[in-house]
Amino acid sequence: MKKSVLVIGGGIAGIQAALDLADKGITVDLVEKLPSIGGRMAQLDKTFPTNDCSICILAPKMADCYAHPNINVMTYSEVKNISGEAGDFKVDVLRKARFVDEEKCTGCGDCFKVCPVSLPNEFDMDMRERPAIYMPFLQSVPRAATIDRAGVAPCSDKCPAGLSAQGYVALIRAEKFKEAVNLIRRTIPLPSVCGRICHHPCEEGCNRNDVDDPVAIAGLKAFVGDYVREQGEDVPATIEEDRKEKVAVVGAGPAGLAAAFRLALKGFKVKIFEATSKPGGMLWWGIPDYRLPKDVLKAEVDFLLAHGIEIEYGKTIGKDMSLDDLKKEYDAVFLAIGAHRSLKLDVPGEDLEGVVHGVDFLHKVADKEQVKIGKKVAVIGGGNAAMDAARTALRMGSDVTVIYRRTRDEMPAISAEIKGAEDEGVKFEFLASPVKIEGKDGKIASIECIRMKLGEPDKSGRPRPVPVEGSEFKVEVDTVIPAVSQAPDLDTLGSKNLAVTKWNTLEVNAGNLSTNVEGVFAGGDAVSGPASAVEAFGAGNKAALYIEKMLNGESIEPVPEEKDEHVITLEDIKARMKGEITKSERILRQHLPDDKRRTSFEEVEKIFTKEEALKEAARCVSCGPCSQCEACAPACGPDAIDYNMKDQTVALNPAAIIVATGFDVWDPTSASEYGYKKYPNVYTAMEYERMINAAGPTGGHIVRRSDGEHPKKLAFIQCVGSRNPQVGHPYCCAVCCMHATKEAMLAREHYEDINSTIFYKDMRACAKGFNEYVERAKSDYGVSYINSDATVQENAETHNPVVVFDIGGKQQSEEFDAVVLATTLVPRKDTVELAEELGLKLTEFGFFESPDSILDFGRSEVPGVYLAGYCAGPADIPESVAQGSSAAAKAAEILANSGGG
Amino acid sequence: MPEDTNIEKKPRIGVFICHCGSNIGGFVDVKAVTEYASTLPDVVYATDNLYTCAEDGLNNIKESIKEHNLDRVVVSSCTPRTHAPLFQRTCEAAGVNKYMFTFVNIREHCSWVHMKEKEKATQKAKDLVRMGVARARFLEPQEETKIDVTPAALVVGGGVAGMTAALSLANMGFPVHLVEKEKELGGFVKNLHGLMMTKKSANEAIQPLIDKVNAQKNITQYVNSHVATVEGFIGNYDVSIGTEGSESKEVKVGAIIVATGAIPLVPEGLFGYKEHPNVVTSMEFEELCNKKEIPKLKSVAFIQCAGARGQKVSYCSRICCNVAIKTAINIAENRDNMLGATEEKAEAEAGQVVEEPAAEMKAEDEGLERRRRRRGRGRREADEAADEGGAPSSGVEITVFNRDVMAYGVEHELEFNKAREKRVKFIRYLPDNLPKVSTKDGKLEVGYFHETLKMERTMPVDMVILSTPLVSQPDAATLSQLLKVPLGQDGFFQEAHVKLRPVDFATDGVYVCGTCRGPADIAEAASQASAAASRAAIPLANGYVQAEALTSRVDETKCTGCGTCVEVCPYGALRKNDDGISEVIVAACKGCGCCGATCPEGAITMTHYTDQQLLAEAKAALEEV
Amino acid sequence: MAQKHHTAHHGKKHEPDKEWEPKIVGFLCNWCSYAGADLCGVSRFQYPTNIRLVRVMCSTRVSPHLVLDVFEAGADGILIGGCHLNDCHYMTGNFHTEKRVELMKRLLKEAGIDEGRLRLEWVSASEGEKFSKVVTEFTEGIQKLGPSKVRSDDMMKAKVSAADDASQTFRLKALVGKEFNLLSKGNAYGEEVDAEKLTGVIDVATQDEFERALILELARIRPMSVKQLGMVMDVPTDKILRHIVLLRQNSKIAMEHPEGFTPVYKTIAIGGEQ
Repeated sequence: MKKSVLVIGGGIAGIQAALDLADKGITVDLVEKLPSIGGRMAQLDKTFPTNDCSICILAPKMADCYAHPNINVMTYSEVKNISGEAGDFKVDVLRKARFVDEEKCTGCGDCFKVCPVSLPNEFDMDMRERPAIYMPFLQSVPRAATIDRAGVAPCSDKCPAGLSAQGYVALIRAEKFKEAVNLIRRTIPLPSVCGRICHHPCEEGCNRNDVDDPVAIAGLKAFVGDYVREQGEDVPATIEEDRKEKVAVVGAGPAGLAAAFRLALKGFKVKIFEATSKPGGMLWWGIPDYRLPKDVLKAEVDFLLAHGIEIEYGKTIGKDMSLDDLKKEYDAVFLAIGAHRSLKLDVPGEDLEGVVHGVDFLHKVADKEQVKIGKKVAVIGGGNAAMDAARTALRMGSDVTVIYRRTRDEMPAISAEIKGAEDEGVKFEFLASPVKIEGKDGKIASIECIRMKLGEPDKSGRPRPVPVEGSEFKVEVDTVIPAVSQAPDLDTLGSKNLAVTKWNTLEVNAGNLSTNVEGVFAGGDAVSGPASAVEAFGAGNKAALYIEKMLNGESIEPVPEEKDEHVITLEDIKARMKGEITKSERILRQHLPDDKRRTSFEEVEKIFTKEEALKEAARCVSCGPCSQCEACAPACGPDAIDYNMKDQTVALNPAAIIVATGFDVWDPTSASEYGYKKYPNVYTAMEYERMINAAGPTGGHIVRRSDGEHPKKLAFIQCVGSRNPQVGHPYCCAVCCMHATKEAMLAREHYEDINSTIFYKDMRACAKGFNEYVERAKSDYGVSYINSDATVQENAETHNPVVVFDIGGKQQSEEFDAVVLATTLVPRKDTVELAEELGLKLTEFGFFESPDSILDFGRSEVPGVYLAGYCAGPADIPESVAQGSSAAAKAAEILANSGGG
Repeated sequence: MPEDTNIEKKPRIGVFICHCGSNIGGFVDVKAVTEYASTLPDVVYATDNLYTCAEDGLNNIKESIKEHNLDRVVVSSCTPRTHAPLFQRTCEAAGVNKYMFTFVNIREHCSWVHMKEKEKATQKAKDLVRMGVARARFLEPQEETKIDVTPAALVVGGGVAGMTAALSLANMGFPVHLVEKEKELGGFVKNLHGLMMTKKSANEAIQPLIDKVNAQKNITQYVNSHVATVEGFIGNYDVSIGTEGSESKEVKVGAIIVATGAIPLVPEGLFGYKEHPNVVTSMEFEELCNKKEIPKLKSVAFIQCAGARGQKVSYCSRICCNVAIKTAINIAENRDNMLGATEEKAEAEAGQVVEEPAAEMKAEDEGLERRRRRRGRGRREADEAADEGGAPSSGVEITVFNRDVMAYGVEHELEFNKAREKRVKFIRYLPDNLPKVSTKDGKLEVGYFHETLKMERTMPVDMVILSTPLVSQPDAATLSQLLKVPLGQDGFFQEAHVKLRPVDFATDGVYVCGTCRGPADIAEAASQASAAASRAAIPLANGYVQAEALTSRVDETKCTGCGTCVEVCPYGALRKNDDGISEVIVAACKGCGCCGATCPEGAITMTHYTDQQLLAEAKAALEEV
Repeated sequence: MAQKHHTAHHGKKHEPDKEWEPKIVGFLCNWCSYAGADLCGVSRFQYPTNIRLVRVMCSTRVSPHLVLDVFEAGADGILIGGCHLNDCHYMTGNFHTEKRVELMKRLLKEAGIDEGRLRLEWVSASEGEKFSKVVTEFTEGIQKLGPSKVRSDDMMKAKVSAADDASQTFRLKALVGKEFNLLSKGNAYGEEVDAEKLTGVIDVATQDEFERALILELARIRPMSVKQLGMVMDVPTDKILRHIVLLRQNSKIAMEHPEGFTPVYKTIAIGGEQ
């Protein structure tokens, strides 16, 4: 078998090691964590002491490495499970899904333009933004995009309908409103409606909950639905295929509408039979106007119907037609008849005049029927229907008391609803349960309740209310509206064949919503009992999926939904953002004034204006970070994007391993004496490096963060965090003196009027050509060198950093336009983990250790494992390259002596 | 000869124009360009693809080559810098030589930079295709040359670098000829007393390496020897090794590693050297240590950069500060009883001359103390701390006069800290105010300018150790001429590229490591040595070198042997043959074209980039359509 | 527009209704400037469509002959792009380029072509935006200069042809070929070479070689006398005579004696150079 070598890290040291081995005919697997090889060197603008353009000299090497027939480059990959010994290691490589086919992608960047997500561009030291589908830099190798998808956002994860909430929030933020609506409609056929009435579990999931308040996801959905419709941009989709098969949908509620829409889009002939005179089911009959204006609902339903859906009102199944009739005429039937029958309280006096059940009450109000209620109304129940009934009764001029057997905390209604009721003046009687309704002259006089106390939790996890003996009390009322629960009205269905559960709901196979009668599916409240609209939408979608499969002649065997994706946590985001999330106040929706609310059915919560929506959407922290809006795939010409790509593990059997994982840049924020992040015009050297790069975030212009002007006086402060035992880096980074010298020279090359001063401890210009380089900086580029420690303050008015230093023991200060900090270079964070995996020792500062660092540098204590580059201690580029070659030599020796190669 | 190659057989060119989805297609009328391409001379087939680089695009090229009997291919799509190898492989798979392929870039250089001018961009794309076709008509198939390599190496220099390089190559299984001019292996290091960062003596430290070299059967050693002549080029060198007192030996090798080391500068005329016996170089001090001949010491001064950084040489010699730190610590610790003469510590302390800190210095101290509290130990504060704290434990006052302490990296910096903890004083001087060594009443003293106090001061010392820079070997120039590899301005060997090719020479087949390349410490020299071994092992392991056929070609009938090409070639890829005519060493040529553009007789052409090809391409741009 | 007037005056080939568009050729080295042009594209920086790029491995490949021959073929402008000095993939290639471009400019000046028509730029692989700026600026510059007269003016064509020939003479090629090494490494005896003196030498050589080449060019078309040549070329007759003497010695030109007239000279045709 041909022996191979594993190289971990695709920076210049790793590339060199790989090329050296491959050129000798040895097979190499090169594993790089990031989506591109190139490492830190790719981030540099120029290299000292020749001021070579870094990418000019590096890019050909990257290309050679990637194209080398003996090198298998695995980017966006990590090594795991290392075992074995020199000559015979066993290593797993986790190839993270990049969701883009490396071979097919041409690197054209069309997808970047449609991605709504903006993330800090790590390659540019977060100084500009990049989309979630991206290449780290334009010369990336491989020249292929990667989707930055760490998992699913909790909002999307929580949505019962499986809607990518982060996706449409991102699209709204990017002002891609039409795209946002299209995305919502793929799951929720009625965006404006859903945005208004949804109990939005997405917002409960929002990671902002633990920072300030969740993003107003539902409000954004309502906004974007309205906005697109009002702009006249909501144009029905063209239906490409024309199918002959006919589908009957019984019930025009959310489940029925969702299924009908989905099937119509597929080209099926869909007809809806609706028992009442209006579409929407509970949306129409159960939800009062002040929450959901009827014209909004009507407009959205009309949009759906415009996709060729027929609807016939006043047709009740079991009355006007039988299930068998439908089965004969249609190829599939979807039963979505809802749960419209109010459940009784089962207390004496429920048949008295003045008792009107919640659903019936709301139905009548919606139908503009005259409903007589009295002055004092008791509403029984704590759900949304109870709140709707109470607030409706209030608007009709009554004094309303809600009686609920647990406390406010246990109320199942949406908290905004409860709050709304409270604000409007609805009274609450908690921990009370009706015992009997007492009448006088056949009319209600009072309701007798008993006090409850909270006991052990029941099956739902809520504390069970237990009556307190002898605590009966009376409330004087003239109307009682029980709103405890509803059930489907199955009696009228008229089919004895359909299986029914013991809770009197339709029995279905939960996986595909098929009933026991072939070709008949059911979903929504009729199956689940009273539940939310969004769950009903989900059921409609699911039914449509399996109906389509059936009509395609495919198996309707339920396919379990995959949900193994990691749900992004706040910790994940903090790690990504390298710090806390900035607080920002949730934009509150305007409310109708309380006094107006008591008398009018006008919509209470105003929909966001465009400005408010953009502001609110901007609060989203892009958990995914990919929002899974799926905008990129259609934009990709060569069809390179594959959202279903999975992480893969590749097993390797290398004879030797070369570790070349490079370094990290220490964040000097904690060293407050330098004012980094506190003063805008203080930069790290790496930030500066990206700034002067012509392809960098400022296009090669050196600009002050405070005002965008180019600085004329620049200060460089050396050894920030290094040569300093107090922050744990007593060592010298070995490259910063020359780096600063180079940066100062480049500043002058960019602008003739820039003068630079370098504050240093020792000017360590101690390799070939370095001293001459420093002398040239002084003589030809006017760079001044001051031998002093330095700290930074700020002139608050000009935002000019003030450098405090000392000459001859005398403290001095000088104002500059900007300051560049040479921060310590430290081992990468994951070094510890890798060291453990490989059985390597680390030095006290976390670099990989060479036991004989004098005569055999780069040979680790584990035979067959070699080190190269900065991960083994401070080294500049030529040293790293030499170490790369040196490690290759050591590996080649092992191969020569283990009979392979 | 190449001028009329294409006349006999009419070229059959196939042109493939890529839409690159809408990347080209969105801004250039690709159909129109394709139609136009089919009208161009010698084009027998032209077509367009949505993605030429996709599987079906590549198949289309292969099938078209067969179907239309194409003998050259023009692909008009993106940049050759990333995609050329892909299309070249495709051509070769269908039997068309890869040098019969031309790439036309109508994406990066056309559609993407003219996104608002579709008509003009289309016209430009047509022009670019016409240019590509014009070039293609004059293409010629090329054979890439394979040159056999003798799988053996020559290593010049038997110090740490040379031994390490030789050992590595030998361990890989290659015979190595190791040439050392001294009578034994060990080089510079064997004369040292102790090494940095180890408690072992230098000899102890390198003996295992010498043992390994002695035990390695693949290494043939030549001591008291030198490289007399070298003929040949990569893979094929004939080397004559001259050995003192015996006949020279001829060896054949495929690669050569130069590891000849460096020597310390003799500081003639500097800092009282040779004027006072107790002014010695650091190398001489090492020898004194070895011989245990160190005189009684109460006070020692090191003067750094003695001759370096603008004095006799312009560069910093990288290692001297760390050597001084090592020596200072050794003295302070009285290692190996090296200060045998000063072992009566009490006596030393009694006779100590400790200067009273001046009043103004005390005032400064308060400021220093304040800053020390604020930021921890800074550089100068620590120096002053040594002042404050009295004498070091060894009883010897040690002062290092320096310009910057080059204790780079981890270990050196830690040693530097350790020296300061041992109360070694580090006093900075500026190049315009060098320390002065003089004698007063027969006693040595060092005068210096105290930068903090801004005043001249004097310090009596028993010994002055001059840290002198490493300079190149006197015979480096000879070897550089023998091997036709360059020396830099500072006399050290000049590597191919300071950043990315640190141990290569521009000339393939010859490699460099250790201090002959520039000052380096032992660890660095050893690391470079094994790097050089890796580089040298590439041709040796393959057994051949293959050169891309982008090389120069000399027309012997035109060459007059003026030698200009030999002068300008940065790779030594041209040489004069026995007839005084230039010839190209194909294996060494990189194809830059400098010689061709230079040749006063116009005798040199560049394969694949002939005047004819380039002029045809460029002039086609000017045609009116 | 200024160049309209020009075009109308000289333009034989240019239709008056068709707006003149400069034709610009760019020679770019593979490693830096071509990569910079690629990055320019990737970054979508826009520039005028006039330039047509030719890729060479190194800018050092761009011999004066390549440039002058393309000017002779009617190019309005030529751009040469290379790596920044000290960045050359082939180490010293672009230093030679720099020297050669100086020669090209000298010869263009002799031929009466505005030096602004030739531009040498160092563009790195990360300077995409710079590339677009360079091309935009250069194109605008050429727009201002108007169409090259080579296509319309036979004397101009002869001069450029002469410049091309001069650039290929042994003397100029050897001088310029060695120029960089002479200045950076000293002469064969290890002596430093005075840059100013060397420039002086090259200046004189350039003028001489150009004039000789032009004499040959003109006398190839029809035999001419020294006086005629002096007038056409605007060079003192004694200098022309000196050139003629040298050219006769080298068998480049022959004297003919038309009866009753002053001697005239005709260029000797060499094999293949008809």
